[in-house]
Amino acid sequence: MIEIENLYKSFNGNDVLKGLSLKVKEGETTAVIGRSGCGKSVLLKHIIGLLRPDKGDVWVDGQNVKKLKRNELYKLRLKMGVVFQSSALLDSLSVGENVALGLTENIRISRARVREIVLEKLSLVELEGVEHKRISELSGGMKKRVAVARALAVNPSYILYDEPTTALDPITARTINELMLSLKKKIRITGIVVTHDMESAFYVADRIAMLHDGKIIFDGTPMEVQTTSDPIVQRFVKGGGKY
Amino acid sequence: MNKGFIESVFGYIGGVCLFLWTIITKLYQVPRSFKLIVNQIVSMGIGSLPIVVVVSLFMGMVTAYQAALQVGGYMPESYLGMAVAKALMIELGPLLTGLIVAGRVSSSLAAEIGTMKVTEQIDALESLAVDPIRYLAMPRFVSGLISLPILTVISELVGFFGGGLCAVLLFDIRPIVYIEGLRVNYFPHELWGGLLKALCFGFVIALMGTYYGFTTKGGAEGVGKAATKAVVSASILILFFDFLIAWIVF
Ligand SMILES: Nc1ncnc2c1ncn2[C@@H]1O[C@H](COP(=O)(O)OP(=O)(O)OP(=O)(O)O)[C@@H](O)[C@H]1O
Ligand SMILES: [Mg+2]
Repeated sequence: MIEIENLYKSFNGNDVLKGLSLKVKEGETTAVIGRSGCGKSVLLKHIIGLLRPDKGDVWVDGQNVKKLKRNELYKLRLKMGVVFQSSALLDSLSVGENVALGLTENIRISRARVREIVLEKLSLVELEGVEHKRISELSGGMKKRVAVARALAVNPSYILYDEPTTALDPITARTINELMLSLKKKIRITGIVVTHDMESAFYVADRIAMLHDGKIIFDGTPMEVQTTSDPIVQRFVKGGGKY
Repeated sequence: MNKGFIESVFGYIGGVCLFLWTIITKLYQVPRSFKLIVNQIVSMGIGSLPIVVVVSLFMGMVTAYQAALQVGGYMPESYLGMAVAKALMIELGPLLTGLIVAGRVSSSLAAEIGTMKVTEQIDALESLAVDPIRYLAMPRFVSGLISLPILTVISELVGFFGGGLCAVLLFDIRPIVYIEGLRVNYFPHELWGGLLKALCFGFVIALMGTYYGFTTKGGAEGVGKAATKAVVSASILILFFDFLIAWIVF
């Protein structure tokens, strides 16, 4: 379980998170929606301990992330896979090496076993025969899939997606949504999807939380999101307008 | 000088020292990162070899030519080899190698790591529980320390050979006489002092390249700035250390 309590973060006087609280239950996928620049990526970075909160705590499986020592934090991160907004594949490595990185750098493991896992994860994201390709040869959608495979390589209990469908065409975005849904069903992974793509949120999420002005102002099932009378949420869901 | 300026200077020095310290604390993981270090030595060292060889060859030739021209009539022939060897060992070998590699390597280190920074690749490493300092900075740092002295020795050998070509072909000095010049007035500390310089230059090049890479902010523009700053500061520090070591050792 991931629990975020009263999180505050500002960058040089720019208050981004102002008392954010959120619970993510085991086995569920939670979508965090909000406008561009509202601090969604900042929230994710707090969950994996890349940023330190000014105030408040992030609890992952009962551990307080900001209190962990470096090696403990690294151990915790092996339980979390992250798919970055820009995919963030290492372009000096091949596709296979990217997927294998978390394994080869952290665990004593035979080459044959690594290869096996790499192929398994790549087929899980429906990519075959690409492990020797260079990153620059891949399309945006393929990069996303490789990033998902890399995040899954260490068999994490959580997967965090940072805007998995933005910057993709509608059809590719759709296939990524299907992938996220099928992963949830196949490996019962707990997920957080940060996005401003409502279609994607409705497609994959069990719960949808809205981040606005540094706080979670709404948290409910997709059904509740559609029927809520909260004007800010309504505006966001319907698109357009000022809020 | 106002207070803000002084503060920012100390802030900068503090930042670099802190960065260096985090690299040093990762040095015990050298055995585990052996492959990464070897890869870096190949790309830094072998990659710089052609330009170092070409520059050194001409540098040796020019040194011999000028030495022979300026004092050729007054000095014994064997002194030409000595003059070339000393100039190369004490000054030209390490300094030119250092400046060439600074231009080539520290900019590309800063650009490479800076790009990784602005495209979230460094964050991705962290998220995979891979320490970016251990994985990226430390191997480049160690490789700088190893590559520069080796490149410098190669530069000095090639330069001496270039000087020899000039001496033999243009000034009719017998090869054996030119080579004997190595032994005239030879002091070991001239060789070691030069190599100490090379070690320092390797340190500076790798440190500046990785430091500016890791502190890159903003997009492509930030990467370009980081690369420029890395070359400029590495070159200035190289000249500074060149003088400092000359002052201490010689
Ligand atoms: N490392 C940082 N240093 C300074 N400011 C930052 C940093 N990271 C984020 N910010 C600021 O925090 C705010 C929120 O950024 P964030 O990237 O979380 O937005 P986002 O919700 O992910 O937006 P998008 O949908 O565009 O990705 C922005 O104003 C940004 O400028
Ligand atoms: Mg973002």
